[in-house]
Amino acid sequence: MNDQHEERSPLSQGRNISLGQLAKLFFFISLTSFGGGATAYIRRIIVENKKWLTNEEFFSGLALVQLLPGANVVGISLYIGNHLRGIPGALIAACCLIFPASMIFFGLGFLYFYIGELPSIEIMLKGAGAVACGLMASMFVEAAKESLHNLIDIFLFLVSFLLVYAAHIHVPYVIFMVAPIAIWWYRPRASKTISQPSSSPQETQNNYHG
Amino acid sequence: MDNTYLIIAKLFFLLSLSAFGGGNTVLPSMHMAAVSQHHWMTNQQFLDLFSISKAAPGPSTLIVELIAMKATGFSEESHFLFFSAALGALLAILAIFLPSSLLLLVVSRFWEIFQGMPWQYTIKKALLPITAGLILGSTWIVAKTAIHGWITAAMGLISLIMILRTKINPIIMMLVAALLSRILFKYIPFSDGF
Repeated sequence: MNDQHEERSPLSQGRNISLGQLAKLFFFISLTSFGGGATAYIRRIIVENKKWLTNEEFFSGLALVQLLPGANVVGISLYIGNHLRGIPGALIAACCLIFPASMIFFGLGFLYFYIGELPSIEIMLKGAGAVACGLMASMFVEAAKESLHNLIDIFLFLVSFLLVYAAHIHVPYVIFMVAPIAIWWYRPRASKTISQPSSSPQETQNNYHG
Repeated sequence: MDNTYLIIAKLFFLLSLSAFGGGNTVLPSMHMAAVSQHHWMTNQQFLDLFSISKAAPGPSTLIVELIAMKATGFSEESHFLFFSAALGALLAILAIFLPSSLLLLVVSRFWEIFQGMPWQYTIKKALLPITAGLILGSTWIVAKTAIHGWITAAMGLISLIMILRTKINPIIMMLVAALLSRILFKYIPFSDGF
């Protein structure tokens, strides 16, 4: 086995994934993911069904993706591909996510501009939208389980949620407002770095595996 | 080369690097550029493209492809130009995804290199609760547009429970919900509102 991959994912079963498997799965995701719940859909497939990543690996990737510009779905695919198979994996995951769907977009665009009509899909979308909502909510439940361990976590979570939801502040501003406080709180401290990893067995492995 | 291609490349390149918080945040800028600035389409057409991008599979940011198709292949003076439309579409896809993807790749390479260092652990611990807050925030925003009345509310709730409790592929649930809503909204009066 390749040393690099061993180093990357100590917990998930993702180290034996071939580029072909990655391509096949993201091709499938490209044609079966819809609207708002797409990131949650990817988590469902990659973390729960395939077990290629742990929840912890997925959500720390999502944190990174949210920090940077660009579509979240594409970002998380790049992260997953890179995490499992390095740069080639990232490129394959992103291309297989984008290009099959882009063919369908091209076809729909052609129909719309050429014939000038939309198939009446609005009513059916209502049901699918509700399920997408449930999918997002399930991702929130998992994220909360993964990230909220103490009162300060809950405080940081509530503040970020309220800034987005009630104050309508854009995501990057929220991150730049809340993250410094959070980073300051979790800064490496002589006493804390020793006690921190033992608080969760997952972290212990992850911290010392390299 | 036609000027439109240059405009498209530049527009989506800039939007790619300013889409902090996901593709939806730059939709208003796309709308402004496509409708009022360059007159590629009418307001109604933009709204139609928006619903196509939500209904079609894949990243909904691919709306850029539809905008570019209209701008390059379906301009008012000429009839449909297949190759222009395809070229415009490809250009738009590359312009919107490539810059942000390269940035993310560079950052996540460093992220993987620093795996296991105290500061990486700090940042991870610090960002996770914020991520949870942002996910709930966007769930709420999706819910506001998707949940109207008790039928969709019940569907959302049932699907949440089923997703947490079972291993069913959400796509199957979406198909069932889509068919169900087709039937329910037709035959049950006052189902579309509380």
